Amino acid sequence: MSQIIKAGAIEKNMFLLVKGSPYLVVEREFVNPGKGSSFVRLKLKHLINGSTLQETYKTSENAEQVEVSEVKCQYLYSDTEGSWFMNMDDYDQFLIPQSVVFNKKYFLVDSENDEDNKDNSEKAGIYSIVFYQGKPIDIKLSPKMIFSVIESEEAVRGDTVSAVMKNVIVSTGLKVRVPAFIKVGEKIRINTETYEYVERVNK
Amino acid sequence: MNKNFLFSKSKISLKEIYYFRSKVYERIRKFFHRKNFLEVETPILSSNLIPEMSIEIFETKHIHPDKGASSLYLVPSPEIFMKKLLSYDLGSLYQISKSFRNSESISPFHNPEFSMLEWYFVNKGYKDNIRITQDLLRELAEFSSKSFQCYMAKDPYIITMREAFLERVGIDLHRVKVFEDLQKAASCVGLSDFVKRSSNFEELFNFIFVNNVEPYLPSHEAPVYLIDYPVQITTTAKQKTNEPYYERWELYMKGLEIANCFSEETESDKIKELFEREGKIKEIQSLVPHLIDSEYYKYFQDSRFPECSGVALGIDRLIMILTESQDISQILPFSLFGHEKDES
Repeated sequence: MSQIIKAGAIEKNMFLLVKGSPYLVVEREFVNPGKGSSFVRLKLKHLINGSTLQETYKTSENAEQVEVSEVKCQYLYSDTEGSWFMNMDDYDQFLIPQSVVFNKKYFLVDSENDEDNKDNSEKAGIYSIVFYQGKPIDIKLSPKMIFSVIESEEAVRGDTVSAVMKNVIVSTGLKVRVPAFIKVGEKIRINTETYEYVERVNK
Repeated sequence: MNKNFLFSKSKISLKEIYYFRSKVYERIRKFFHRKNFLEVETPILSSNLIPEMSIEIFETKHIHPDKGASSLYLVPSPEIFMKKLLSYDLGSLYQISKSFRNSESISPFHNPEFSMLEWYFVNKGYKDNIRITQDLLRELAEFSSKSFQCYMAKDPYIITMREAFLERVGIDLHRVKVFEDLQKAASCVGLSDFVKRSSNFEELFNFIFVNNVEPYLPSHEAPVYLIDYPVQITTTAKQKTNEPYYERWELYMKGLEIANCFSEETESDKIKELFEREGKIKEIQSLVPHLIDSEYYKYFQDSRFPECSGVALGIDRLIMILTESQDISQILPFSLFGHEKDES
């Protein structure tokens, strides 16, 4: 199923059917080069094989919005093939291949290690998985998530103008640049879109 | 809910942004004063406008207490009045003014009401204005980061549209005269999809430009002046002698289009013809048709209108770049639309 919309109404994170294939809108930019039509320039990511495509539409042209469904699923574990989840409706376990999970693997935590929902067993380790024609195509993440720091390097002094920064590694293996005062064992909030440190979490 | 966003997602404080803008304006005024430009102020409400197919406008009503209402329009740029002033021999002019454009997409780079710096350099051409623009931007870079100062210190790229098309898509604009020529050339280089989806020269040209040329301009390395636009794209710019291009440039910085410049057309016949032709198209095709000054060409008769080159520069976008902001709503405290995703 799909729905026809004007290309001028396309938004970031929308799912589109382009030349028969489903894509996620990664970037969207309006361009008004002068007289006549205005355009929308898109960066698209293929939902099945992950390849990217640049596409340009006149804003007056039609585009096909793909209908997808979102299902609450619990993250179980990851292996070399990808990440395993359980559908909370029917307890069916399924694999999301590594090509789809990609860098989101750094933000997957099971119910035991979900720092954001430690006291909420119903939400712990639960993610919204986007399905297209029965296939999982995307994992939705909260804009910010909390992780424990498990490894830290020594901060290098010298640059006195900007704050002293250092690299740390969090429980999921993600390397993040943080202020020097962050210690191993502490919890930090990370922006899941930019992969950047946001703040220290005091709990 | 209809509300004006008051800086909810900004990294710069409201106080900082007002002080910053004030400094920028002060420096712009000093700059043009030093160069003997006259600062002018012209109306924002007008009873007629220049017919420009690329622009939709805001219409409002003036209500006469006894005779009823008549239409007035918010100007999409101060061009219509500044050009009238130029014909009165005031010399080079500049203005910082509010401009309004309707029916533009909502994006991090657009607000329907925006500030424009527009100047006209008398007895000079579009290439002289590259120098002026560079000088101005280098001065303003003093208010920005070290890295932006380095960016501005570099020599700008001056690239002709012909070079850009040749390099990016292998189409020689010199050999392309009419729509059919461009259709053939585009099909030959694998762009037949755009050929199918375009109904005239300009649309196909823009499709290729937007998709294959513009994103690859090296404007993240140094400012890019894209110069000499094909004559098939109608403007009020002057045509190059014996060449099928208009004397026009657009300035790109850090991926954003910042300014547009023409060597201005000075012949009254050409202005009259352009107004009549574009006015008819505008009447049929635009969402907000407006009155057109059918006498406008008279300001150009008997060599009244001086040889000159005009630049329109979007100040809000410039301030975005100077403050390294990602979204226009970060530097416009009362912008109509907040664009950034809520991060909280």
